[in-house]
Amino acid sequence: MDNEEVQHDEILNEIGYFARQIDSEMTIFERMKITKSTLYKVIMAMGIYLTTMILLIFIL
Amino acid sequence: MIEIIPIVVILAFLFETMDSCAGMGFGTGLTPLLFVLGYEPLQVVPILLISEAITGFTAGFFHQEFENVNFKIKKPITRETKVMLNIAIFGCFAIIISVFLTYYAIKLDKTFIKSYVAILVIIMGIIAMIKLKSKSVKYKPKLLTFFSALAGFNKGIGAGGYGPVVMLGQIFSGIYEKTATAIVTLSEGIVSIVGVGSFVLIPVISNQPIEIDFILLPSVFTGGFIAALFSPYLVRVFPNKVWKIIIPIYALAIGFYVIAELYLI
Repeated sequence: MDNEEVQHDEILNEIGYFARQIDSEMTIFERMKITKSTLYKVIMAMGIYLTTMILLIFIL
Repeated sequence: MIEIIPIVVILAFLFETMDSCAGMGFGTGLTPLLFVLGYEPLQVVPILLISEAITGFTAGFFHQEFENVNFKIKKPITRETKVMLNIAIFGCFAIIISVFLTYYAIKLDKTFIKSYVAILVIIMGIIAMIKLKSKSVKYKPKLLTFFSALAGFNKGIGAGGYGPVVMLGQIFSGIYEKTATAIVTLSEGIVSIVGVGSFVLIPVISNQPIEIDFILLPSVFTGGFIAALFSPYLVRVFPNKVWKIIIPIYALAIGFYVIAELYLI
């Protein structure tokens, strides 16, 4: 790896790099947008919640 | 038959929302309120640990999804992952000691140690408020290790306040507020799993099993889980300067709440 690549990796590895970038580059309305893949993950999480509740019905 | 208790769902939702947004307050805030509602320690403590274990991982996952943090398990692991593991390791040791002390009913002066942590959190909150105007802080890993150990020590002796000390400690160590919230949320999930494990294993090893009452689990889990999905999104949407103000104010509120609970209620 040359020096430039090492420096680039260092910047990406900086704590909070992505959060800072999003804050500085996006408006609040842009940050509000949700992608389809995120929506699917939320639906999957709700599935996990429902499964847990069904299991609790049997266990408790 | 499971029972959903609306007031417990609402309280769990509110405290988990703040916990996943500001990195603190679920245990410290919710536990005394549930005691006031008439529940016993064995109905509350293990249930909060089970719920926090699941919601910590869920909120951690969605913090990553909303890019508040960059966790990476594969090599090379990111600095954020290292910080999270550092905090979690201290917390795991602390919670084992804490459960051990609770189980064997080793008595420490609760009022004294809880007052000490409340005052510590208030002082840290005030310093964070004073530091609000400083633009950028350089990352100080040694200071972070000190605060992780201090928070672990406090939790270990049963004084609580793990979230506020670790959260404010991260901010003093130069970690971006949004990222600090995500880090403490996931590390609390890991610590809670170890807590649940020690709650079950320590009595089994000592051949004196305890009976945990699960009556609150469906309600705490429902409120906490919804909050764990919702909070990382709030953290993403609101600018960091909002969290920079909310976090120390909330820490101060928690500190004064503990003092009020100890001396006024």
